[in-house]
Amino acid sequence: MFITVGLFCFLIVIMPILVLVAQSAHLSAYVEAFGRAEDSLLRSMAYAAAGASLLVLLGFFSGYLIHTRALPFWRGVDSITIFLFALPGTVIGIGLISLWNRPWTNFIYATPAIIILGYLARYTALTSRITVSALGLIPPSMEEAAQIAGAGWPRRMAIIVAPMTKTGLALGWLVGYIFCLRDMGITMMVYPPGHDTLPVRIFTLMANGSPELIAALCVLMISATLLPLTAGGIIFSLRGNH
Amino acid sequence: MNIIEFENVTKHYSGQTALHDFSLAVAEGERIVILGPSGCGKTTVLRLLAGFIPPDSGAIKIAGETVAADGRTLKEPERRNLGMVFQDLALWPHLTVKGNLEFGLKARGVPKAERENRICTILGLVQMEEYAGVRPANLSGGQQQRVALARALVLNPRALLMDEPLSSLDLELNIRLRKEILELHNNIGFTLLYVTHDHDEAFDIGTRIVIMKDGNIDMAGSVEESREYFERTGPNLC
Repeated sequence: MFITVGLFCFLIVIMPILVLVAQSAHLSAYVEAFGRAEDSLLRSMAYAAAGASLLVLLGFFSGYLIHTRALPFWRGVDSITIFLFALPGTVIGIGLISLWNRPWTNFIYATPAIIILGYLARYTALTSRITVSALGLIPPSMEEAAQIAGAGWPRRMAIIVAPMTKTGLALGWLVGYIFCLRDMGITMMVYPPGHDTLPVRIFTLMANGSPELIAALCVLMISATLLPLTAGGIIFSLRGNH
Repeated sequence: MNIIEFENVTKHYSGQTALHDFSLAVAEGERIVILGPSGCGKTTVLRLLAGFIPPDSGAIKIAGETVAADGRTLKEPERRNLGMVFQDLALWPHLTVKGNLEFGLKARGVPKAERENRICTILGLVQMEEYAGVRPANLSGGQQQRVALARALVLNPRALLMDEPLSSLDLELNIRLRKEILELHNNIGFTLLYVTHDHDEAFDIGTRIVIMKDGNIDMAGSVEESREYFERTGPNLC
């Protein structure tokens, strides 16, 4: 039974990746890949890191609101974030274009800020929900103790609540990074000229690029995804050893 | 002078009455113990006074100032200058003992030199000077209790609220810490509102015992009067 499941997983998950690695197993493929998409790769990672950081911040506040039910519209915030996550990226992209494609909002629409806004619109549900779970692990008395000690809300969040949820926030950042990095629906719709990301570049190069080049770009994409996951894993295991 | 006053306070949770027309006045320096079984409303009294929940009706006054009335919080918990020791102690695990004590002082804008002085003094009083740099997880249960007490008292609160703080300790440690609380009270002279369901703990700590039943005061009086009450009624309240 376990062997069958293992073989099935190998076939559908590992094999496609191995095929890409095998197809790109020439130095020339990677030289060409870097030559043609180095800027897209770096942009992808930078936008994903910026998007993940802002997603953690926004998710923390919306997650706190949902967890504590501090304001009457908490349920609305929860529903909207989940609804936006469920929508196709292209729909959100068209919505963003309709809203921001105006002469006086070019400082948003003609810059990478529009891509980051798209990430925030679509993926806040992820970091928000992760924050809700992380906050659920902290007894309410922790924040109440800070409150009765004389601390206002910003100080309570900065010194007590956020540090106590740091593992959840780090996890949220990783999840946010991965989702931003792999996003194509929104990015394809809204990216300004000269600001495409690696998934978009792979998609456009597929039409006339060689299979070796495309495979090498895919391996670079996998590496960019694994990079923070590996770093996070090392940090967590080092902390565990301490 | 009354430092705390509850005037006809009523509180409901999801349709259930937690407190009904509750009135109580606490004089400065008094040690009040609120005694009663689970669900009788004693923790609600502390949470209302701390400001974590507003009363549905009635008023709460601290040092003559109305801090909550008729469903409205007029003064937030952070501005009431109260100290509280929680049932689970709520020590912040990522901060050291000193960090736990310093947090409230910083929040209240106490200058560094005075902070150091007050922390040193209170840690001396609870015999925890050498643990200033230690995190709560590395302390014993009794030491954690002392830190929680020190954290509340270092702020010189108008009153100290304690919500069943010794309930999780073994009897020997429980009795020892009762004595330490009384010694601290003699040294510092704070007003104490102490919630428990344990009769012996109540009689050891209180100068006045408030016995609660079904969200209201069933009897309030001296330790002797409380003993007589229990002899008359038996130990079970609900």
